[in-house]
Amino acid sequence: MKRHDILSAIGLIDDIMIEETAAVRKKHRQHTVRALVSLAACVAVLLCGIVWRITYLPAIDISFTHHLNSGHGSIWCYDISAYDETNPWDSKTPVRRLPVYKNAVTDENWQVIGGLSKNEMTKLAQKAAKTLGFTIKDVEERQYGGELKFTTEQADILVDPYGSVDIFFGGWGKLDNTGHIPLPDGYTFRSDADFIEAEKALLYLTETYADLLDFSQPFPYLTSTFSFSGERHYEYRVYEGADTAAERILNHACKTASFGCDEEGNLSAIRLTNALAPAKKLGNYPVISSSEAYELLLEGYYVNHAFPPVDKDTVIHKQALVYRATIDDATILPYYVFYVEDPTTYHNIAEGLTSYNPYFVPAVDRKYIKSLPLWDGTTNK
Amino acid sequence: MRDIDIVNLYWERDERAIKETDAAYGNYLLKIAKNIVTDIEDSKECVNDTYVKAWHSMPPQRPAVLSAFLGKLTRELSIDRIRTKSRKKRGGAQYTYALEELGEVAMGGDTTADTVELRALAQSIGAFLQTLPLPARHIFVGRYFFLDSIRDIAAYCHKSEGAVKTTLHRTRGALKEHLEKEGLL
Repeated sequence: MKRHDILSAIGLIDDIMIEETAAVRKKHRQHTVRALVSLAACVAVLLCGIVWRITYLPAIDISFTHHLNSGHGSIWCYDISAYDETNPWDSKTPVRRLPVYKNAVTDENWQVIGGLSKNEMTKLAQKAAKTLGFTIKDVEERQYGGELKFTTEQADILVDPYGSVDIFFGGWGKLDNTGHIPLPDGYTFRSDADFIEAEKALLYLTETYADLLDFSQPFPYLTSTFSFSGERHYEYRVYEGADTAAERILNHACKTASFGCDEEGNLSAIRLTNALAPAKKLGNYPVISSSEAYELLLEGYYVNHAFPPVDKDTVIHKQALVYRATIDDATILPYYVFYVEDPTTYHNIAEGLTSYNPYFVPAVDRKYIKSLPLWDGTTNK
Repeated sequence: MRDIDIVNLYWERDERAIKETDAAYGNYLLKIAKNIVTDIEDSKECVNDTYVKAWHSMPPQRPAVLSAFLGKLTRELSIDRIRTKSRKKRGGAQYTYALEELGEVAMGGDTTADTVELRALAQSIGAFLQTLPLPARHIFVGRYFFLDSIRDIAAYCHKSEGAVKTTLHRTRGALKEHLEKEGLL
């Protein structure tokens, strides 16, 4: 007898045994087909969703809760070209698309809409406290703005629903310097320090509090403000760097940290901001060029509240691409900002100190904007 | 359409019988054929031959389990095709592997059994299979009747490929013992 015979004989076995195995095979195949059909359906839905997400961009609402904040204030400086010189936008490498977010805002009654939950705020405070080695002893909900105050022995930690965490060493609202943290000998950490000293202190602070900042690419930078008498004051800041220009521009406004000092050069506070934490992304929107934005500026399509209109003879002293992410902006979106010298005559101002008015023109293609703010001769709303 | 209705169409010599058979069992039969012959065109021809043979078999036959009846026809026609069409042409991988594996059972045999012996052998194998636990029987029938791959069997029996191989090995050994006791080897 050959093996062929065995195989042939098996072909003659009882129909019932063949049928019962066939049923097992069929059941599995149907299950597999159903699973594949389900999977294919899921993939199709997912692809449709992705395509929809990629192609659909909702209209952007440019509005402000409190009109007084609808335009950033004037800038005082001696040399506007040096102002905000760490802005990551480079006019030579224009970005084509930038992300836009629906912001958490306060309504007319200062009630927070779309902010972080108390649970999320508590987690932020716990993370900060743990990193600093502090223990939270008490929590207090503040009356306005939905802010929570967490008390530790060494500091008060205030967290707001917009993603900001403020750490006040020694406690919030104190008038003395008790509990503030001195920097080691050799560091000068004051707002009126010179540039070299300030930069050295900033690098030290950025490194010392790296875990608290939790930035993958911390980018420390100093900004200057001037008193009317002409004294320079440094602000010590860090923002989260990134690999792409679009992310850097966004983070420069939305993911930042700053260090506060007292008059004795001690560290009095640290502020962490992450405006994107409560925000909801609307999409990546096409961005117009700065020259297109300039045309809109001439037509009066800009955001501010009291600056006079500009025309083609007006000198633009500086321009940049920035995000606005204040708690009054309904939408976090990029703007081209044009700096124009303030024509107002001021008295008792240090010689050479000049005021510049920033004009914010939405950088997103206007077809995606519900209503482009148009200067109406009085104030924008 | 129910099996009994399809069979009635054959008995009424209604050519819709072929169409309904193909709709109900075309893929099932094609899978059996593909496991045995390599070529897809050959497989389709085997299935078509199955319909022709079914047409000539009903009447007089009135199969109780139409799928098994048709499956046996396809299997037989497919094996015949690769045996007779060309000696040089190998069968499908699963047919070749199954044949090699069954060499363990038929070890030393060198004469071809006649039809009567095959029927006796089939009955004995059937009796042996009745003694197996159901999962082992599904695995054996899947491998040596349907000539399914180890992977496919593992999938529809919800076992690992290793477990399927082990079960087959043990079952072949037990079948050999059974056939020896029966005096068929």
